[in-house]
Amino acid sequence: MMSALLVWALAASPMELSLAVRAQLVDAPAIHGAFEQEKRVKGFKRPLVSKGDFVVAKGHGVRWHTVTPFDSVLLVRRDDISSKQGDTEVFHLDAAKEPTVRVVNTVLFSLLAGDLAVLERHFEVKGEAGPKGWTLELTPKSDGLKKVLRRIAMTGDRFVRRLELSEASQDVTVIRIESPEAWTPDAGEDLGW
Amino acid sequence: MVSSRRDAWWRAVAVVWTLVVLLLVGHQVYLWTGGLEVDTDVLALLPKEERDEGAQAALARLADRGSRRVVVLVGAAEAERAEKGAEAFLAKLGPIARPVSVQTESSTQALLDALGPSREGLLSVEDRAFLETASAEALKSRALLLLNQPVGRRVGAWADDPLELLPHFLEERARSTPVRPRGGRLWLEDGARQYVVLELESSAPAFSFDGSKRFEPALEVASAAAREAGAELVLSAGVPRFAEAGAAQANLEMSTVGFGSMAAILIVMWLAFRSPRPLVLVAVTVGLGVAAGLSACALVFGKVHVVTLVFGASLVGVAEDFGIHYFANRQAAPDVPRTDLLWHHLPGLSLALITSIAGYAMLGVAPFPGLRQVALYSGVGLLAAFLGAVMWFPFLDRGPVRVTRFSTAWANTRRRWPVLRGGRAWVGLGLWALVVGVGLSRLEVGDDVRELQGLSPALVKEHVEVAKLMGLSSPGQFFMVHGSSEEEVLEREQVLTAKLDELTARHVIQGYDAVSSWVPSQARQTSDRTLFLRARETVLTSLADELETAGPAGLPWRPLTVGGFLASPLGTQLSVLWVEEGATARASVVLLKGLGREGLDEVGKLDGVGPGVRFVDRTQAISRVMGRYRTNMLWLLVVGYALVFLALFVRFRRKAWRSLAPTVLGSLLAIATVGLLGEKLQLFHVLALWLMLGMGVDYGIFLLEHPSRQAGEAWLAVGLGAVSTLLSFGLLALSTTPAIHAFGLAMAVGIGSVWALSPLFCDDSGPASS
Repeated sequence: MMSALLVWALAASPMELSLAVRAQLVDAPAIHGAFEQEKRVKGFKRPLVSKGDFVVAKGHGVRWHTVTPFDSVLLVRRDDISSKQGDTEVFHLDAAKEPTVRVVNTVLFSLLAGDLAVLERHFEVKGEAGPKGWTLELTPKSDGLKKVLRRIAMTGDRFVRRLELSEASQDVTVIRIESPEAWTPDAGEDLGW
Repeated sequence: MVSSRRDAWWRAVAVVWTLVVLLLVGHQVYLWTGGLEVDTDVLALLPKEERDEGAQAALARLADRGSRRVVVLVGAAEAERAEKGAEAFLAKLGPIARPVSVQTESSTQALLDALGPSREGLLSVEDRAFLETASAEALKSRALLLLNQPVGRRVGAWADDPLELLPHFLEERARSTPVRPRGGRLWLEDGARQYVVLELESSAPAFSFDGSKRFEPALEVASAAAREAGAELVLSAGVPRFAEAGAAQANLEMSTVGFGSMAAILIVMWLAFRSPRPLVLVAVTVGLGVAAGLSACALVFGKVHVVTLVFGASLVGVAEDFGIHYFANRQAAPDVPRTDLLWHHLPGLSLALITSIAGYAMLGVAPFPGLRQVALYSGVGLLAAFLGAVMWFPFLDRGPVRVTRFSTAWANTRRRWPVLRGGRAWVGLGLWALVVGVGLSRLEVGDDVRELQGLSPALVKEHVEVAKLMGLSSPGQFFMVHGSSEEEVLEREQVLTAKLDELTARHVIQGYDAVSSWVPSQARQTSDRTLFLRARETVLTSLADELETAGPAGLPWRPLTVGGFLASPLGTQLSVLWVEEGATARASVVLLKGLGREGLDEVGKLDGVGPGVRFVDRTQAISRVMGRYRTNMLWLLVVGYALVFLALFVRFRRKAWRSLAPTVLGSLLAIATVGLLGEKLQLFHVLALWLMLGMGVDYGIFLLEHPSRQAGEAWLAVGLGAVSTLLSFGLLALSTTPAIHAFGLAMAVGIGSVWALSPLFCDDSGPASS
């Protein structure tokens, strides 16, 4: 964490913004909540809507559990990323084999947890913070991320409330986070990974 | 009368010889003003693969690509520090090496452009298996699942590839290397550190005659700068580092051997003759020999290898023999006319020359280009030194040769030297037999070529570390796949890669590079496309209600060809894997990654796993060649001894064995020493035995020509010659190159004992048959 703080301190974006946002965000070992994802894909008449619940846990990663339209689980961990439908693994990417997995995983985790220090390493961050919440706009720094994402809009208060991901492929994904809660998992509690 | 006619002829031939020497001098001037090309390539000394031309060509291209490349890894726990380190490294590197342009994101786009029109026929192994069995329901839910991921990995429009098969194919390909482009640089990570990968091309010549290194210091300065800028670890690997280290070492050894032997000659010559004339004249013959050897190699081979120069330096200690003999004989018979004296000794000198040249020629029998150079260098050098002495000395050596106290004292030692006779002889022989017996019983053989190259252990360690991190392929072991057409080669390669996939899964190897991974055979592309189209059709139909248009954009498809792929930016890097031999023959190379010695057997079993598939193990092939020649040339040595004995018999009749026995005993002692020192008997020892036969027998000849124990001059000449020869080969034995060390050690022990043993067998009971 020390190194992350150092990088954050050296980052180019205005420090007040970062400080203001960080001051509002809850610092919890884990956050869980429900989500509604609306994805507009070119070629589709209507947006694709999916709903479910999620857990973001420090030191573990993200568990993205889609309930509708069908049950599936996306696990984003430090060293791999996998997607399961029932007991069938649809895909699995290993960081040892595909190093970019770590970047993707870090970014996804940081978006949901609102880890600004990490996000500022990968994105130019602009925005504003008021007493009741904040709005940020992220544009990727590296060419690698630019190939996937054009920009990200984030709003939130104590938690991240809304994410809008504009992909390079013109798809737009809006994720709304409902009833998020800080959560301290009991020791040894099985988070599903 | 007869002798004056002879001398006129002599004079005429000497003039012709002088003209030849003038040509030689001219060629030397050309060589030393920039015409001399010194070869430092460590692979150049190894034998050509005997049965496969294609493998040879492929290997040559692989070696060529690597010969100037250096990979540098600048690592730190955080990417920023690694990046700063890499910048500092490049800034400090200087003009000695320049970075090779790297594959970046823009070339990823170029790759997509190259593969795009063929995407419908490119499937990853996993997807192929999935599509072959998946139900319509499974296909649909897979497509929906992918759609619902927060961020997609799509390439192009959704409807073109709803199952994200092309990204998956690319991911599978990318697994063959852990190196990734990021922000205009190549990156690598191992969990603990992030590394910037820099590829450099060295422009420094590996060899310089002052023995200085140019690349290594530049690398050190740049690495230090990188560490100062924040890098924790800087690793580099590449052929230029080995070549430069080898060349500098060779340079040092060449000087040691050459100057060491020369100094020894000058000192003993001065002690023996106390006059500058013999000194200068003998030095001239040695110079002639060295120059002629160098010219011959440059003319025949185009380049001279550094190892030849090291080996060749020992010629100094051999080429002086003729001159020394001449002056020793002059000293003994100061009143005999010089041409008469030389004429009298000519048969003996000639015989000695021929046996020595024959000994060197045997080095060239084994198919090692390096040894052939040494054989040519030494053979021509000896001949030139001999001719120099014979042609010039009678005319240039004007004036008396003094008898000195040293030469008298030395000559007198022969009288006191024991002769093999009676009980003492048997005691001596018994002792010798004991030493040889113990030595031979401990003797082990070993032909592993890896143990013959004197590569610096520190450099090897760093190289292995880099190779492990980068997943570099080994140039020593690979597969060749032959076929009559592109399609045939690709299909045959796919048979092999299916097996290699199994070995990769079991971690016998880390992976492989194969053209068919990128360009499947047309047959496979066609069948994969059928799977692809069926799956897409199913997905699009099942989601038809949601879609604005019914079908995909329907871009025209064309299969990917090897030519098309190799023209893309990534393809050019893989072009070394593809060999086109004329219009009908095609071949490909499959390089293996992370293959250790323990995996060799299992990988070797895939030799011939399908038609046209062959496993090439250069390291083992070379070791096997060395082993075969070691055995064969050892047996042939018996024949060699028989032939030499026959030649000696013609001249010395029943005393012939006396000139050969010391060499036999000395040779056996040399081999026993190898065993006593715990070293392994290998080809280079056997080659030393051949040279020992060629040179050791000379001592016997000279002494038999002057059998009387009162005749000290031959003993003096043999002794002076042996001192310098012993020193030459003794210094070779100090070489860090194990092959040269082996040769030098066997020669020094052998020649030393032949010299000491020779007078023992010299019976002075009667004159020689002549």
